Amino acid sequence: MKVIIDEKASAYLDGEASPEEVENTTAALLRDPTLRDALSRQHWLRHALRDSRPLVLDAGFSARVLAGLDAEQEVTSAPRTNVIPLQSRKTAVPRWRRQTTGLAVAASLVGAVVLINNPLGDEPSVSADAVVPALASQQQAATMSTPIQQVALQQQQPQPQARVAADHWTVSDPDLQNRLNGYLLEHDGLARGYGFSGATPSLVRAATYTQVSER
Amino acid sequence: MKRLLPLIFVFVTCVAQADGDDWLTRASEAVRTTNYRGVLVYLREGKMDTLRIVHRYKNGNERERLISLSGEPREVIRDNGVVTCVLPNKQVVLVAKHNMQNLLSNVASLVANGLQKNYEVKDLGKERLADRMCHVVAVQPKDEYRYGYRLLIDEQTHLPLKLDLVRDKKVLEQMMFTDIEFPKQISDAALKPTYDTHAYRWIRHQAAQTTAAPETVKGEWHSTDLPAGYRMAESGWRRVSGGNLARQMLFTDGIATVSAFVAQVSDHPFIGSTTMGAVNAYGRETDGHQITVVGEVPNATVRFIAEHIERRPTSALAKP
Repeated sequence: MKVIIDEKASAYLDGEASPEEVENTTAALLRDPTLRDALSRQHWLRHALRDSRPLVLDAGFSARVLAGLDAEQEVTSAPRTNVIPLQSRKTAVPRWRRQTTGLAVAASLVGAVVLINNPLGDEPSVSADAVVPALASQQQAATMSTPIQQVALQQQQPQPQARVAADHWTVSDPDLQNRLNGYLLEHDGLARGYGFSGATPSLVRAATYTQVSER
Repeated sequence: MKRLLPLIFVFVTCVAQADGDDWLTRASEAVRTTNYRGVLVYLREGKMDTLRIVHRYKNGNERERLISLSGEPREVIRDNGVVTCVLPNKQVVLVAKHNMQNLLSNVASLVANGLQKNYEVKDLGKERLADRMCHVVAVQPKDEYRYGYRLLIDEQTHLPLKLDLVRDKKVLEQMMFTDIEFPKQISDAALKPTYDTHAYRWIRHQAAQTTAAPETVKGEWHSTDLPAGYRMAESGWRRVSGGNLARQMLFTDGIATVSAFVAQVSDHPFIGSTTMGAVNAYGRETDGHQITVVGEVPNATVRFIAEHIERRPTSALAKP
């Protein structure tokens, strides 16, 4: 299992693996939930830590796992010569069912994401409800019944930036927000050298708060 | 033996306090004088940001670069006293310049002096984080005018690897390195911004080197009272957005810091309280001037300070 993660995960996640490697890795993923978690974690880390981009699930990854699942089902239900062939499972499974099956796999990825997103453990700082804006439509909301599925759906759609009181001033006037951000920047700069507020954390705040400081 | 127990308790408490102070003093120096780079997670009020951070201390000069890995793209670069925030989506660069001379030497003494009066420091032993052994220090406030802190300080480098900002036993913010390394050398390229900012709009905040009060902010402003333990650390004039001048006063208790700004009343008055995470601000108008107090302190502190800033009467200025 470790060999697959170390040597083939990159190629698999990048879509650069050979068909045989894809098949083997997919089969291993379907068998082994631990491997799924490990690969999911690596997938998230690659996106969230190494790329300077917001976390977006690789839809191709889910599709590859789903394709593997379908392929395996086709193998197990392969027609025999002494029976009347039934309708292909691929067409018999309703579209919504296949979508949710794929999302269930994706949800396992997001589950890992949510768990990793709260690495501090002792505080429930990030919940699915907190990081996910309202769903795009009631129909989708009805189909995606669990919060984790809603997260998965949101990860596959463009998301508006969530705004909570933690990253912008609780005043509506943009000019006033800008002025307060300017003052905060001034404060952070001058405070450096005094106690802990002037240390690295203040720059972290500057880096995170300034995202909403300009119109 | 029973008589000795209280003495042992007092002794152990004192040793723990001294150890905690020592660790904090080392940590406050380490954040400035250590080369490090890593990934830092910042959690607050259900929101999470991930940042890559590079910090270099070379020949007495400190450079630091923070790159946001989540949300809008942002970069913050600090070169000694110059803090530059690059906002590529907005094509804006915010620049704040500060005179950093004579500040670093004050750190240790300020931390030590401020701690014992206003905080109780506890040495909570050891804990492992990011595959490194850390010392855990809790800094608990003695009143409502400051937050508490819990730090995990790396045993080898003394760099704080995790910082919790606490109020009433509730964690308001957490910052934690999920990945950290301490290279001996960091190249100049690692500290340069990713973006070409030549075509961006630059907003510069710069300390104005004026000794006399500018005409736009009349009179001599001062604080008539402060929350217990706070004192004014710096005061001066600052050129802020739009070229206007503001008087800035920095107050500290040795751990927490808060700034008061006095400026001419604008078309966008700020009266009352606002908050952003653990940062609070309070504004009021007096004598034709806008007073704004901002800092990572409780609302009670910014309000207290704002309500006790006044313009010194002209007659008082005339007295020797």
